[in-house]
Formats: sequence, structure tokens, C-alpha cells
Amino acid sequence: MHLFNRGKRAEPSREQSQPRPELPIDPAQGDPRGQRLRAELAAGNWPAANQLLGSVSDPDDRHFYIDLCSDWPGRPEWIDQWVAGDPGGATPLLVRGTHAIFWAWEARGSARAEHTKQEAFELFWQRLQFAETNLAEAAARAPADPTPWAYLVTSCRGLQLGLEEMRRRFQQAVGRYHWHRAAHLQMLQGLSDKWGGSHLLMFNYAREISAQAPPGSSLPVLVAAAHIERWLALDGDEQVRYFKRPEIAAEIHAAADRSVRHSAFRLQPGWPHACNSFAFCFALGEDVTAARQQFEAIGDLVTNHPWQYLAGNNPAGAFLAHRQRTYLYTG
Amino acid sequence: MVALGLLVGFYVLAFGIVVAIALIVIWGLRSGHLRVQYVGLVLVAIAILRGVLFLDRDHDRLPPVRIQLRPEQEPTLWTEVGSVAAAVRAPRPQVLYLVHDVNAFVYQESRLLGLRPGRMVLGIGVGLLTVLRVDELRAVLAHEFGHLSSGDTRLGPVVYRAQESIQRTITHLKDNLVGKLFAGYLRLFMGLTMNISRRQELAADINAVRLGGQAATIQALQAVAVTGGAFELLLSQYVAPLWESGAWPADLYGGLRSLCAEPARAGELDAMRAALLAEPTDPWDSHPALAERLRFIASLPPGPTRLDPRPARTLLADPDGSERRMAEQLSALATDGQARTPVSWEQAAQQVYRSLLQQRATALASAGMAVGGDWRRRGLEQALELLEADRGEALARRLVPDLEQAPAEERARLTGQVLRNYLRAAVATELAGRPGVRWVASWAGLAGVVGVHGAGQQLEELVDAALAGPQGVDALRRELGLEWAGV
Repeated sequence: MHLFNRGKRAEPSREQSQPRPELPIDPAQGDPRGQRLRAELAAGNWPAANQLLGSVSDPDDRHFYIDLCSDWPGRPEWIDQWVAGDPGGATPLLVRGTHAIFWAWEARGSARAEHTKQEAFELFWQRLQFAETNLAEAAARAPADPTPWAYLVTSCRGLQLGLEEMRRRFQQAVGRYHWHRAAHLQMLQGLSDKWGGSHLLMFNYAREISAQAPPGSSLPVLVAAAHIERWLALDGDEQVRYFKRPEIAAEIHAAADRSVRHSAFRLQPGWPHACNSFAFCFALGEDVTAARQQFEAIGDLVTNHPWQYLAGNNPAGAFLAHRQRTYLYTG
Repeated sequence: MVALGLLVGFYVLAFGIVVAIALIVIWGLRSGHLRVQYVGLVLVAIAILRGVLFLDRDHDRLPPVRIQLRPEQEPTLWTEVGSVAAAVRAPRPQVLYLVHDVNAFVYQESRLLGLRPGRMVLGIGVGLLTVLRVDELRAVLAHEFGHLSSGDTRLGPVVYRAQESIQRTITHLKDNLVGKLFAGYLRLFMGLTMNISRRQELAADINAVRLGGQAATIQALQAVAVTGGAFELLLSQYVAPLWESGAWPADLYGGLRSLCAEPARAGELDAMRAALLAEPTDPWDSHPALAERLRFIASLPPGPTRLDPRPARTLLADPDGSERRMAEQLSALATDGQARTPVSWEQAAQQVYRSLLQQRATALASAGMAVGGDWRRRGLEQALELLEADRGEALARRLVPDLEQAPAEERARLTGQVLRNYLRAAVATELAGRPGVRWVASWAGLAGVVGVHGAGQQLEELVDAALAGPQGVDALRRELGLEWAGV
């Protein structure tokens, strides 16, 4: 799961001047098929990628792999080759549209709106418009696929089309697959205060979905994600104390019990993101026992989000520091 | 005389400093003591010279958008101007400009650092002709010529130019010691001359009443003051979005007339008038406050009562054509030539305002959802519930975060304005979605809607009622067929 606060994350292969993290971040989050997909596309082999995607049927998995196809710096040549090489196909348009979202955020940077330059905004909007066109066509070509709709939730937020339009798109996505992981996480971002929603709205949504989600679903991570957004909006002491507050810690524990700590939780591609989110909350709340359990589950599969909120250009460094500290306190 | 003395004093001071600096630099060069610090002194001298020598640029004072009117093109207006000048024994102006705003001015060009008089120049704003009647215009012109006949425009420009010149010198000098010296001089100068200027204004009002009559003068003064505000509102709310989209309003001044006559704007315009009347006379202001002038005028003998109710714009040979040319020129200047397409107000409503209102409707829905907190229900429904629960301020702060910075005494009024703007947009957008209803130009807000059963009038009534209290909210909800989640 990306697109939370893109641009802040470390990209060691791209920017030599940045400090090398001691731990590389694997975009595929340890998934072998995802790693193969990345390798094929790095070599420009889109037919192989096309074939691989064709064998994926689970909507959450499909979204995860489309993310991996799309998240490249700049604009690789094979994107247009893929579109030209598979006329009438929905997947290449989906990839091109999704890539345009990542590409748009690359132009915008991760700063809050008031700190973003006008030219950057114009490029941002232009690329998002391009994304919308491609995603709308992808949705028309594959009417049963929730994936374009999940991405349209994200572009809607960037284009500031309003919360009602975002909900409409979200409902299109979850109408096709009720527990769509990425659509839910993107909707949470869109309902957050920094994107024109409010803390109240975000928490109402996160708690409602989390309560309805089947046991062992990753969706209760929405509660942790909402608390992370709330924490991010605070300053100084309030921020330091936030995850230590008993009522907040209790709510995060309950959410973990219903998802990552539940016996029915599946290690589906992209699973480390939920564990990273819970580890983050527990580590900042200095609940070392709970944090350790998550760090052990994660191993080295660190994700950018939410660690980039602690260190924009070195999320893996922040992850390592907290993991070390946790291990130190728990022997 | 005092002003003249001070003006001469200013030049003596300015040139004195320049000469002193020159001497210091020359001494430095001769004796070999020249240091880097001297560069600063030279810069100060240059700043003073720049401030002083710009003095003769008359074109700096003219409004950038102007159309020169020759007697053969505009015989009626020239005759009117000439007869007013003759009646108050003022020299007939030699140059007449039409300018864009709601104002009139008269001044004398100057030669020789403001000491020798030049041609008489009269400027009349199209905005003024747009709203005044002929007798009211006469009063305004008589007032302006009053400055000429009492001989004070010769001194007037001297005073004005000296102020400008000192001010400009201070700006060039920024905040250094010499700058402070000039600032002190300016305060002294203003203190002495402002009183003179204000007395001249009142004397000019005597002229206005003598020629235009008391009623027309009072009416003209108020109209000018309020229309100025209305024109600003028109430019910022109606015209700026057109300019941004590359269009310009072909009937700009017709829009101003409609805006001033719109019943739904009466409250806003009255508030402007009240605010102007409440302004005290500032010792640094060359004009006495409006209230002071009105009181003074009311104390004068009533003057002629024969009225001339023709619109002042009919004095122009081709009023529509002149207004259109002015609108085009103003738009070209304001947009650097980017606004090329003339549009009617109806076209503006269809093509530009409609989408602005839809954006506001979207923003209100998002704010309603954000403050109401229910992600499943319509934002407008939640916004109405907030209004009903007297939580409109929270809603308005979401829509315009800057409201928090507004001074406490202004906040309630601004909050009301924000809520009205957005709610009106949302209701119009809802109604426009109905079959047979379409967007039209509206002076109550950017655009309105008309359709079956007079949806246009309904719009303003529905919005006003909803902002007045829970019953109105309920009526609006029923009209729009919205759900209510209340108990």
C-alpha cells in the first residue's frame, strides 16, 4: 500500500545522495510473484507481466500487483508499449492510469497543500486527469473489476472532487468486492482532515468498517491507520503522549485482536503493511511486548507507510531504530 | 502660503542633502579616504533625486484606463461640463477623459516642479455616469470645479505633488536615517496641509449645492460612495472569474446598474453605506468623512429645486458603445490582453458561474459531511442539520478557514455571508437538476435558476428562510426532498 504520503520515502536506487538505509525496502513486501513481476518490468518485459496478472483472480491480490506494476519513477517506455500491444485490454490502461497517479504525486511531493508550488500543482492535476481518463476506460472495458474504482477513489482526492464523489467511487469498488482492502484504506485517507474530511468523519468510518469486517480480515487496520493520521496532526507533547493514552492503546489492541493477531489472518500478498501499522502504534505507545510480536512477524519486511511519517527520507531507519529499542527492552 | 513654503522647504532639504553627499564624496576622492560606506551615501542621494524628479510626470497620475473625449465627439457632455464650469466661474477644462471607475477628478497639469500651472484636466468615471442622474452629475461637477474656481487647484497640485514626492522619496530611502528625516517632514507637511484640503472640500460642496441643489448633492454623494463598493463587489465576484476564463463582460456597467437595483443586495449595500457614514474624519485624510460632509450640506440653503432626472449616461453620444469600449479596455489591461471573448451576463451564468456554484455546492456537501461526521449520508442533509442546530459557524469555518482570523465583531456577519453564498449555490444546483429548470444570470448571487413554478424567486426565499431558523430549514428540506435524520 502506497500513496499515503508518497515522495517522502527513501528511494536509494534513485537518489545516490541520500543516506543508504541499512535495510532495503522491498516494494513486493517479500512476495515472490511480486518480485518476479518487478524484475520483468524492470527489463521492460510487459508481455510477461501481462501474463502473470492474467493468472491473478483475488481482487486484493490484483490491486497489490497492479500497484507493483505502476510504482516506477518517471515514465517508463514500456507503459505505452503495453497499451499499444494489447489493444482493447483493460489491464494496460489500468496500469497506465495507476502509474499516472504515482507520477502525479511524484510531481506534487508530499508537503501539505499550502507548501506546494503552483507549477507542481498544475502538473499534479494534469497527470491526475490523465489517470482518470485511463482508469475510466479500464473500468468500462472490465465492468466487474473493482480495481479501477479503487484507484479512482485516490485520484478523486487529489483532484478535490469532493467527499460525495469519492464515496460514490468507493461504493462502486466495494459494490464489486465488499472487503476491498485498498479501496478502504484510500477512502480513509480521503476522509482524513488533511484531505478535506475531519477526524470525526475518519474515525466514524474506520470504526464502522472495522466492526463489520469478518474476523481475521486486515480491515481493522483502518482503526490503527486513523489513529496514525490523528497522531500526525498533533504537535509536541500531545503527539508524544498520543499512543500511550490507555483508551487509544486499548482500541488499537482490540483492532489487532480482530485482524493481525486473529487466527484467521491470512498472509496474503501485501500483508506486512497491516503489521507495520500496528507495530508503529505499539512502538510509539512504548508497549514493547505487543510491538515485539509485530516486529517478529514482520521480520525485515518493512513498508514505507507509516514509517515515513517519522523519517521522510529514511523510513527503514526509523523502523530499525524502533525495532532495536523494542528488542532492547524485551531482552 | 504655508504649503508653498513647506514645498520649497522640501526642495531645500532634499537638494541640501544631495549637495552635502556630493561634497563628502568629492572630499573623500580628493583626500583618498574613500571607503565602501560611501556607496550607501551615493545611493541615498540617487533615491532622493529619483523621488524629487519624478514630480513632473503627469501621466503617472492619470488612471491607466481612459478614453479621451473630444468636443466634436461628445458635444452634449462637453456643453454640460462647460455650463457647469461657467456657472461656478471656473475655467473650462481643456482635456476630458472618460475613466472606468465611480469617480470624478479635476486637476491642473504642472510645470517646473509643481510651481507653474498647466492645462485643466477633467476625468469622469463611466461608473459615475452609470448611476447618477443629470442633476446629480451637475452637483458632482460643480463640486470638482469648486476647487478650480476658488483658485485652490493651483495650490492643490502643489500640495498633492509635494505629498506624493516626499512619500516617494521615503519609499526609495526605505528605513534609514535620512528616510526618517523625510518621514518627519511629511508628518509636519500633512498636518498643516490636510486641514487646508479638507476646508477646500467643504467649500467645493457649497458650489455643488448652489448648482445642483441640496437633495441632488446628498443623493450623489451617497450614490458615489455606495456604488464604489458595489463596483468592487462586481469586479471581484462577477468579473474576475470571467477574466480568468478568458472572457470579458460586454455589459459591465449594465451589470453595475442591475447590482445596485437588486433588492436582495439592498442589505449588503445598506451595510456599506452605514459603514461609510460611521467613518470618522481621519486627520491624515484629505477628504472630510462622508457624514461630516452630509451634515455640512444639510446646513446649507437648499439651492435650486428644479430637477433633471434623466440618467447622466444619456449625456454621452453613444452610452452603450462607450460603456462597452471601457469594459473592453479595462479587461484588456487587467488580464494583460488575455480576456478576449465578450460575453453577456446570461452567457456568463451558463458558461462560467454555473460551474463555480456547482463547486460551492460540492464544497458545502463535503463540509457538511466533515462536520456532521456521517460518511454514509448526503453532505447537504448534514449541513442543514448543522444549521438547524445553530452550528453554522463550524460549517462556515470549514468552508473558509480564514474566518478564524476575522475580527470578532465582523465574524458573525462574515459567517452569515459565507453560509448564504454556499447554501444558495447548493440549493440552486439541486433545483437546476430538475427537468425544465435552467441556469440564468442573477444579481442576488452569481447565477440563479428559473423553470417551472418560478424556481428563481423560490431560490432566494428558500435560502433566506433556511438561514433564519429551523422552520426555514425544514421548509427547504421538504422542497428539496431531503431526508432528515433528526429525532
